[in-house]
Amino acid sequence: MHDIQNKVGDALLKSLVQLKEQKGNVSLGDVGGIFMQMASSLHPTATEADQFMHQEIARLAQYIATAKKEIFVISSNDKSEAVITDASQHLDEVIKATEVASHNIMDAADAIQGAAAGLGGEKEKQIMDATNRIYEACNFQDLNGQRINKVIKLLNTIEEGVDKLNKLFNSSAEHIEAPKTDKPLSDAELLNGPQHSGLAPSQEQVDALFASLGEKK
Amino acid sequence: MTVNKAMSILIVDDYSTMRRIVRNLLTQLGFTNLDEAANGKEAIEKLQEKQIDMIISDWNMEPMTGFDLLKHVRADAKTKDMPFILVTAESKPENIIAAKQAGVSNYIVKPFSVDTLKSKIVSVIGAF
Repeated sequence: MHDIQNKVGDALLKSLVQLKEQKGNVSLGDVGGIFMQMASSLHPTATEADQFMHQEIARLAQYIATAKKEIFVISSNDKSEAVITDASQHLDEVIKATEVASHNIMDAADAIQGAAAGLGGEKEKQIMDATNRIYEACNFQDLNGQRINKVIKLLNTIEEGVDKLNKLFNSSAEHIEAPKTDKPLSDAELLNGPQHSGLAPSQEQVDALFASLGEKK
Repeated sequence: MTVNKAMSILIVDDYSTMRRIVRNLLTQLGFTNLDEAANGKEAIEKLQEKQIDMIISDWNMEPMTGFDLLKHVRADAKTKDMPFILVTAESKPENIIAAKQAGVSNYIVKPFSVDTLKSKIVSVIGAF
């Protein structure tokens, strides 16, 4: 840092000496002009950094557009070759398919419970317990649906962000919204969906926090 | 106080599979007077049409969340003391705190078991 300061000082002094020899007198404006020239010469990579960022963002936008086409264009087994190009539509189909499957599973569990009713004794209890575990396991459809919706929203957010940045570099007049400042969580910000299985609290931990908050008023 | 298993319970969730799971489990626990709504807005319409004694609701629904439904129920003099249990995947501390402050009776995180559902209902309305 000290070395840089010395170099800057030397360069400034040389410029001032040259200017005095040329003009005789050196004005304040002359000194300001020298500083401006030196500032732009000290940061030759500013424009390069901007260009690099612009290129990377444009490349990212292109990558997302290409990935959508490559990953989400499918053809069905039908000769009509239905094509799905919208990521959201594709994932919605996953949610619907798992919903149908869950209902089919529970239909079967209902039939088993119906057949077991009246058996009495330990056998009936075992069958009812087992079918209850089937119902409980069908929680997966709800949780997976919420996770998929979260992914869809994330994809849309990323795409919007990249589009905005891309437009920013292509149009100097583009207005970009200022980032949100810190404020209390809104109702919408409480909508997070299921956490990763390794991070989600247990019911016991939820109960402990709930109990610590005191009685309902 | 003896719990009246003929009490009317409204199950609110945007996933039909989840409504079915809760209905099945409540039926096994002996509750038979059950109704359903797919979101908070539909739940409010049900509340206006008939007597509801308890609500078991998801949080994350559109156009009206279970959290907004809870606030609506607690703001109405006719329903402000109604047992209201949230059954939801929202499990962060800020969610639990916000729900408690809004007046929720109890809080169940998904996935849940029939034993958990039973114990939370007992804690709210008494043993049965």
